[in-house]
Amino acid sequence: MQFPMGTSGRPLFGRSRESGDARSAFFALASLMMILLPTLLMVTNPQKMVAVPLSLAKPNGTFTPTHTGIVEKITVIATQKNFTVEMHVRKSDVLASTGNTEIKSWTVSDWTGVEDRLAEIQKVDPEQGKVSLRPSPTHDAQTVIGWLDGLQLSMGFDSVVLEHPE
Amino acid sequence: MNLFSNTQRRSSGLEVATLAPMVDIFTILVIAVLKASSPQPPLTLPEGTMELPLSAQEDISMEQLVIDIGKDGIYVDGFRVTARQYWEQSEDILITEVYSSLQQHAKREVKIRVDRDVPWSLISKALHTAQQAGYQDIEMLVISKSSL
Repeated sequence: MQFPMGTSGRPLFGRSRESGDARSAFFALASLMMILLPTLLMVTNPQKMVAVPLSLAKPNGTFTPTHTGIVEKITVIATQKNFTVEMHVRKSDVLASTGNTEIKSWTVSDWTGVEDRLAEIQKVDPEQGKVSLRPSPTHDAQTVIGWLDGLQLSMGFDSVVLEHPE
Repeated sequence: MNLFSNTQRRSSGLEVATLAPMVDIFTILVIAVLKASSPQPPLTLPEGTMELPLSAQEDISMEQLVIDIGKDGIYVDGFRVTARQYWEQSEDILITEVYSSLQQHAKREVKIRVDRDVPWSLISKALHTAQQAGYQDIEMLVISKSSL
């Protein structure tokens, strides 16, 4: 379709049908968004509650190793002043069987040190995805949840067993 | 000679070029709201001053039987069963009031909500009590860090 042209060479009807269609489509989209956004804000809950699964050690329970790798158990013990990382590693004796372990432990001053030490243990036995965590009685919930997040999401441990404080 | 051609074009109303950024902003806002919000009903806690811990976890929880440990008391399914201070100082590791209340409900799953300042010794007692009452699946409810 040809539009009539003015004396200066410009079309008399500046807006073609295509640009008019695009504008109405954008108007419709903008209107939809303007309705959708307040509706969502009204019907949804801004506080998203999530669940942290807790794996609990039984008090005075015996430990049965299920992992067949070289590192049978990893324990992180938190005290008010520092952290102790314990690694139960199978003895290098060729006759050593499951449960025949020696304990190596390190004391570190902060949580970053714990993560660094655990990263080194993961290099020794990458298949070991279980770690026990024993917070001290005075640590608060937010601190313990922060450690759980660090172990599960940052370090990639599948199972974090919480032990009762002694 | 048309001196005011540009003026006429500007006053012709909203153009596509001005609408496009607005639509972009609204689209981003809608996606952000969808990601940060939850379809669950609003959070109701037994104590108004109670603040839940924050976590980076993303598994949305379903409503179940809930043990609450607030700043003042311990609640099972919304009903106060005992005082927090007493059990915080007690040497016993089994909270008897919570134990009997949990046994009455006779379920397998329980959620625990605690104020972010509650010491681990008291949380540990509550978890041990739930274990002793026969609850196998225990989860802690926290607020996602991605909340609005």
